[in-house]
Amino acid sequence: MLFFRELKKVCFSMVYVVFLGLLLFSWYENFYGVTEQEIKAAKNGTISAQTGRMEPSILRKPSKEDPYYGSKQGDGTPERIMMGAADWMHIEYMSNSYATYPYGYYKEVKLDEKDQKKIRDILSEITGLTGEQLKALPKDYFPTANGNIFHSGAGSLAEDGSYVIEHGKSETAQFCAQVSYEQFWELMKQAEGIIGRGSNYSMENLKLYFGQEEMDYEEAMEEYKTNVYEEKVSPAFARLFCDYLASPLGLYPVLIAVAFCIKDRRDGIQDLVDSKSIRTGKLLGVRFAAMLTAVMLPVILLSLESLFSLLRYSVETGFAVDWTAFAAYILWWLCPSVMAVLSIGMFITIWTETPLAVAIQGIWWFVDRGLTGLSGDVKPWTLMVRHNTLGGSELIRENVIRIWQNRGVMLLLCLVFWGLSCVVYEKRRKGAWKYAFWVRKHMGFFKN
Amino acid sequence: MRFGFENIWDFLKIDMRHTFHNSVPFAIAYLCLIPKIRGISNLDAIQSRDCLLQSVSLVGCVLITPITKWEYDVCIREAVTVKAWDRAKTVGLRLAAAMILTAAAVLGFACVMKRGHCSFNFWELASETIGGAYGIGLTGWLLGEVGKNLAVGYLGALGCYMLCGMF
Repeated sequence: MLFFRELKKVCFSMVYVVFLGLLLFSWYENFYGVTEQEIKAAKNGTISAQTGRMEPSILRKPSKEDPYYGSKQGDGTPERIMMGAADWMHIEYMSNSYATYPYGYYKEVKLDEKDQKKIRDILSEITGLTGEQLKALPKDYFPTANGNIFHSGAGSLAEDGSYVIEHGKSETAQFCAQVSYEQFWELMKQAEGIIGRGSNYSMENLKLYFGQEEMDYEEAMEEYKTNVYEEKVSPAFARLFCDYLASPLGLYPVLIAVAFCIKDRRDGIQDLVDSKSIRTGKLLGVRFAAMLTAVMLPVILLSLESLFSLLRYSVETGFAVDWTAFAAYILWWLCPSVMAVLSIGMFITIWTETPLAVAIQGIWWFVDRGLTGLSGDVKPWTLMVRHNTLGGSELIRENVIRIWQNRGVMLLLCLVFWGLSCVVYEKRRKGAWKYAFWVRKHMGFFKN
Repeated sequence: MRFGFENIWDFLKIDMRHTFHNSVPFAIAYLCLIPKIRGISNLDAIQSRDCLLQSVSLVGCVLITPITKWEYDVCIREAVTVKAWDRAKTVGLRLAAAMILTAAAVLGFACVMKRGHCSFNFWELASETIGGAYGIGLTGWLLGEVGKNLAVGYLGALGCYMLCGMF
C-alpha cells in the first residue's frame, strides 16, 4: 500500500509531468518512426533511414548486384594511417593550430616555440625531411583526398553537375614513412602528450578517421544473418532505443529524486514522517522503488511503438522476432544507470537538504557525454552506454564483459548510496546531524 | 524591524542582493568554466555560433529561472503577499534586472570571443544568444512558478533548451 501511495505522489507531481514531457520529446525527436522507416526501406530497397548515409537497411538481404554494402570500422592499413596522420600534423604544424576535443567540443591549442619544435622533430622523423623542407612541401607530396583530409583538386565536376571526390587518388603522392608502425605509434603518443587530451593523434581517433572500410558481399551477408536469424531482428532496434534514451535518463531522474526527497520539508511534514514507526530502510526502499517504477514505466511503454511495428513485420514476412528483447535491454542497459542516478540524487538531497544533486549529476552527465564515444566505448565509470547504430552487433559482443562490469559498477554505486542515504536519514530521525539550516543558509542558490 | 520599502531604490538595494547573491557568482563560475571545456578563440562563424548558443545561452537558466525561488516556500510566500509593496512590482524589477544581467553576460562573453579572433557577426549572434537565454530562463521561471518548485523550473529550462535545438 505504501508503495502505491508513494508512486501516486511521484506520478501526480509537477516535476514528473515535466519529466514525462522531456522524455517524450527526446524519444520523438530521435527514435520515433525509425523502425517503420527501416521496414519500408527494406521493402522498397531504399537506403537506411537511421544512418542517413548511403547504407542499405539492416533488414534487407544483400544481393551480389548491390553497388554498395555499407561501411565498417576497421583498423586501417598502416600506410593509410601514417600518411593521414603525417598530412594532418603537417597542416596543423604549419598554422600552429591544433584541434582537440577534450570534452567532445572543439578546442584550439596553440603551442609555444619549444613544443612546436618537438612537433617538427616528430614530423621530420616520420617523413625524413628537414624543418626547411617541411615548410616548402611540393603540392603533390600527400594525396589530394587523404582520408578525412581534402586538398585543393581533390574532386572534379561530374556530368550531372555534382562534385565527386576521388578517394585514394595517390598515384602522385610522394609520402613514404621513414619509421616502423611501432615507432610511429610511439611518436603519436608523444604528440598527444604535447598537444593535450582529445587531439587527433590518439590511436582511437586515427583509426576512426582513416580506418573506415567498405564492406564486401560476404561481410554484409554475415551481418544480415546475425541481425535477422541469430538475434531475431529486435535487439538491433532495442540497442538504438536504449542509446537514445540513455542520455535523458542519465540526467532527468535526478530532478525527480531531488523534488521528492525535499517534498517532506517543503510541505512541513518532516517531523511527522520522522516520528512514524516505520523503519528507515523500508521507507527509503519503498520511495526508491516508487521513483524507479515511475521513471521506467514510460520507457517500457515507449518501446512498444517499435516492438509492435516489428511484430507486424514478423507477421507479414514470417521472420521470427524476439519480443522480449526491448524489456531485456531496458532492464540491463538503462535500469542500472537510472538506479545510480536516483540513489545519488537521493543521498545528496537527504544529506544536504538542498538540490545540490542536480548540479553534481549535471556535471557527471556532461563529462560522461563528452568522453564517451558513440559506439563501442565502455569504461567502468561510463554512465550512459552508447551504441548509436542499428548494425555493429559485433561491437556489443566484443565488449560484453566490459558492459556487464560497467553495469555492475552502476548497481554497486546504487547500493552504496542507498545505504548511505539510510544511515544519514536514520541519524536525522534520531535528532543528530541537523545541520541543514547552515547548508541552506550558505547555499541559498540550491534552496528548494 | 523593516515592514516595507520606501521607494524603488530602497527596494533594489535590499532585494537584488538577496535575489542574485548566489546566482551571479554561479553564473560567473559557469562562464569561466566554458573556456576550460571548449575553445573560445580562433573559431569560425559556425563554431562561434555553437559555442554561444550551446553553452553561453544557458546562463539565462542560471540568472532568470530562480528569481522567485524564495517565495516557493509557503511561509515566505504568505509573509510576502500581505505586504503593502506590490508583488508584481517586485517580480517585474527582478525580471528586468535578471534580463539585463543575462544580456551583459552574453555581450561580455561575445566580446571576449571577438578579442580571441573569432569570426562572427557580433550583433546578430549576440542578439540571437540573448534571445535564446531569455527563452530558456523565462520558460524555467514560468514553470517553476506554476509548480512552486525550482526543480520543475530547471527541468522546464532544459526542455526549452532541447526544443530550441541548441543541444
